Amino acid sequence: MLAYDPSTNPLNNNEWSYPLAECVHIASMALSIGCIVLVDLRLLGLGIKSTSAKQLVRDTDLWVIIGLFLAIGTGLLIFSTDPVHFMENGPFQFKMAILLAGILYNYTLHRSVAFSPSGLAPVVALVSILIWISPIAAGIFSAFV
Amino acid sequence: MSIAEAAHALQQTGWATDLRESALAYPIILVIHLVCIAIFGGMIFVTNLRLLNVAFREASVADIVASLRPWKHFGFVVMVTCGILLGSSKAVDYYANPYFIAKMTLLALTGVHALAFRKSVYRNPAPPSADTARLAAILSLVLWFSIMSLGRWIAYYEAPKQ
Repeated sequence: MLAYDPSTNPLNNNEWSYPLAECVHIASMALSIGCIVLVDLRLLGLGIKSTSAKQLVRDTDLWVIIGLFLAIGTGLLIFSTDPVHFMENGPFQFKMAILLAGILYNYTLHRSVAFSPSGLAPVVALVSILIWISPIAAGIFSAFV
Repeated sequence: MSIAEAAHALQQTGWATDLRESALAYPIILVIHLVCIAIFGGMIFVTNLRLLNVAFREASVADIVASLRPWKHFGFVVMVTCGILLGSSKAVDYYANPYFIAKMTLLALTGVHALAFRKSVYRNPAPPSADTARLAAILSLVLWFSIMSLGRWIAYYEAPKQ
């Protein structure tokens, strides 16, 4: 038995807090995903071409971390309003799996290719964009199933 | 024709009805809308971080603004197209929703913002003054965060019972 009763959660008892958590969630995911895609565009030879991919990773590093930290923090708050519902939700399970994959990918292969671009760079960039679109799509679909 | 009648007529068109009643089309368009927020909203963040002089300092403001401009324009068109589709399918609810009205008002203000800082910042080939750049960035961040938030609040508004 879960000893936690979601009806006692302040987010379920205040008109403002839940949508506000969602707004911070969306803004911070935009910050982190926008910064990652900026590097992807550079690896595809697009976007801010005057700066190297390596330098763009350095420029965006802190902001990706801040965005991920806030997105996951607010995500946990949203999750806490109805944990059982989320745990049993297919799109949500997929979202968590692809998010974990995305974070691992970003700090391993994606990073090393950005630091020393090879012929594989465009493929790595396209995979990265696909990976990061996925948690957004899964997040929307988790509310529609 | 009153606004209410126009909204009703719009919502009753075949495609708006199909969209509203579709189990897949509506969430898919919403996903595209959100992906645009992530990628192109992220670019707005990036531009503003540069204007605030806290990141991308090795590139000039003019360079960052110019390299991201076509992407932001593209994203804006896709985002607005999705928004029009989503809004039309629920036009009767939306036109009377105060959060929707506020969102459209702020969206119009982003045009005023772009024009107001056009010469001094966004089309300035020389580095803009630090104060002007900071003001433009802060206003942009406030405007876009508010627009995104109002979009979320539209969904939570319940019209008073008639």
